[in-house]
Parts: sequence; C-alpha cells; structure tokens
Amino acid sequence: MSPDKTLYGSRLEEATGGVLRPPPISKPDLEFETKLGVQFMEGREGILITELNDLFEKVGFPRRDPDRLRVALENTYHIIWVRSTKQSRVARQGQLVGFARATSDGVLSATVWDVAVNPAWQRSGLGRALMERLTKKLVEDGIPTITLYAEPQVVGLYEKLGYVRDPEGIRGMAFQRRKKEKGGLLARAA
Amino acid sequence: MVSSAGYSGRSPRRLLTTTLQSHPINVPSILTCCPAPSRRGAATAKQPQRPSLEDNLGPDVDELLLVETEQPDGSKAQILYRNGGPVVAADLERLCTKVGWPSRPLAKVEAALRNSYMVSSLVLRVSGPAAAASASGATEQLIGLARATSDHAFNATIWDVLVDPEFQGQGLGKALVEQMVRSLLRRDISNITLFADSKVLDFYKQMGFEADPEGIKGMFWYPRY
Repeated sequence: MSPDKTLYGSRLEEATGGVLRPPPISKPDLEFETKLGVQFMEGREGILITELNDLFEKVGFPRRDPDRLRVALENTYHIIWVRSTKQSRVARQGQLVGFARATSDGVLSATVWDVAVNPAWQRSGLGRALMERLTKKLVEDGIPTITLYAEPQVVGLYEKLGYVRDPEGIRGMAFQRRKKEKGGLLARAA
Repeated sequence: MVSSAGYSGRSPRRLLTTTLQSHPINVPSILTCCPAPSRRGAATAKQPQRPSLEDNLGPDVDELLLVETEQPDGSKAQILYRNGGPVVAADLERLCTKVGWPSRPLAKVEAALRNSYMVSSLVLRVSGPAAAASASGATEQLIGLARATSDHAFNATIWDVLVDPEFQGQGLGKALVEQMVRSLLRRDISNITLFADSKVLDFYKQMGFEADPEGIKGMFWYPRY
C-alpha cells in the first residue's frame, strides 16, 4: 500500500553501497569520564526504576508505572544510559543522569524513545553523545531504518546528528486515544 | 478460534473472481463503520465525537472471519484476519514483489517477523472441491500483512502494511490495520505509531491516526557524511 517507506530504506542502502556507516563519536567516553565524572552504560542491568522515573520527571516526562516500565525495558532492543561516577552537589555516586532506548526487530527497523538528560548535565553534550552511541549500535547491527519522533524544539539537534524530518513526505503518525493517558507521544518523544 | 464480527449483508465487490464464482454469505461489520453509542450526555450531543476504534475493542481472538463466499459446488473461500499465526518469510516477500516493494534478504525478513511484537496477516483460505488437490482439503494464501515492533508496554510502531493488489479495493487494508490497532489497545499498548507516505495519510487519518501530533516530527536517520 505504501512502498515509499520501504523504497526509502533500500535507496539509503544503495546510496551508501549497502554498507551503512555509523555516525562518528564526537567526544570519547574518556573525556566524559574525566571532565564530567560520568560513564556510559549499556543494557538495563543496574538501572533503578525509581531513578529512571525521577529522571523522566525532571525532564517533564510523566512517571510510569514501575512494573510496566520494567516490562518495557526488558523488551527494549537497546538501552544506553549515563551514570555519575562520583558524588557531587547534583548527584550521588552511581546515579542515573541520562537515558535513551530503542525498540527494534533487530534487522530492518528501529525507533528511538525516551531520550532524557538530567537538567544539571544539559548543555554538556550528553544528549548528543547518547544519540551518537545509540545510533552507532543500531547501524552496526545492520538496521537500515532508524526512526524517532522529535518534539519541535529538538528537531534541529537531531538534524545535526544525521536525522532528517519527513523524508520524501513520509510523516510520523500516532493513534489518538480517547482516554488520554498521561504521557502520550509528546512525553515519550525523543 | 474463529469469530465473526457480525453481519451487514453487503456483498464483497471483487472477490475470488478468478478461482471461484463468488456467492456472498456475509461481510462483517468491521468492513463498514460501526460507531458505538456514546455514553456521554449533552456535551457530546452538541459536538459529536468521531467514533474511535477504542469504542469497540471486541473479543481477543487469534482469528477473525472477515469475508466468506460459497459457491454451487460447495467450495468455500474465507478471508481471515489472523494474529500471531506463522508467516513464511518467502510468502511475505512474494507479496512485497507483487506490490512493487524492493526485495529484502529472506534471513532478515525471517528475523524481523520473529522479533516483531505482533504480526497480523490476511489469509485467503479455500476449502471444499476447489481445494481437493491439497492434502489437508484446504489451501491458504497470504494476501496481506502488517507487523509491529514494541516494548510490550507503552509504545508500538507499525511497519510493512500491505495487501495483495488482487484483493485491494474492498476495505481489507482498513480491516487489517483496524484489527491490529484493536489488538494492540487490548494489550494496553498506549502509544501506537507509524510512518506514512503522503498518499496514505488519509487512509490512516480516517482510522484515528494523526500526523505530527502536537508538532512532533517523524525523523529518519539519513547520514550525509
């Protein structure tokens, strides 16, 4: 019914010779560790659900039901998060201060959700760093279609990272529920 | 388990003209529109709400009879919506070729089907004399598909919605997506999303999808370096 989207993915593969090159990592992990006292973590292990909800709340996302959030993390294809390596005025040692995740079928398509950085660390490049690393992982896994839903004010940021909006007229759509749950697409958008 | 959603008596227009002479028995109401009665009062009466797929989720079934036709020799053709049934990757790719989509490596398609949270299909099932040659007495053919990736809790994204061109134009694509959305809502998935070409925006809008809700933009990774 709608071939363009699939064609788009295949054209992308053709344009790049079938091998998608992952985005460059603009700032290495070590620099974040020495300058900011934070480290990047992969996977859900070590994430405290209450801390994740605290982070969501800080960036204006709604808190989620802990059990469902746990299920969501278990069924997320890839999670990347940031923890503070030292005690400071704004975080205790080990605290989760940044987060991003992607759902995927592991081969053809992926969608990024819940990109969040603790306001105390915003403007330090953590958001960009999280997205570079998450995108890199998805590209290296050979997934040709990597998508996200971006709030208007962060579209520019994602464009800098190699994402394009509405390519070839393809639009993001969401089913509008009658019973609006707290935290629809807006709260969950990257 | 097979469940028929109800009878409206309208005959399918262009069905099985090649293999069977169609003799319509029923077309369930999901192929038409069936708004549920509003439970709200005067406020709703002033500004009638559009019917939503949420209003009538229906029973949680793995299989739903959409169309059934029978003919004089007793052969029966059914179009079924099926949830989670096994879909052979090669069948899906055959369908992709038929609608003009580029082919994808079978191993990848197989993995994508396996790793999807929900795979919904439209199946043409023919039984009786017309299918006598088959060992089971019935033949099945994949004529439509949609699949969704999900975190099993909050978000789902629908991909690869397609219907065999020979069976397009009778509301089957709409039935497929509607049933899939209902299935996702029944599983309490609150955020159902997709990416749509400009040509199919209205197709999804009439089902309750909104483009760029609250200004949110769909974005694709497309490196320029």
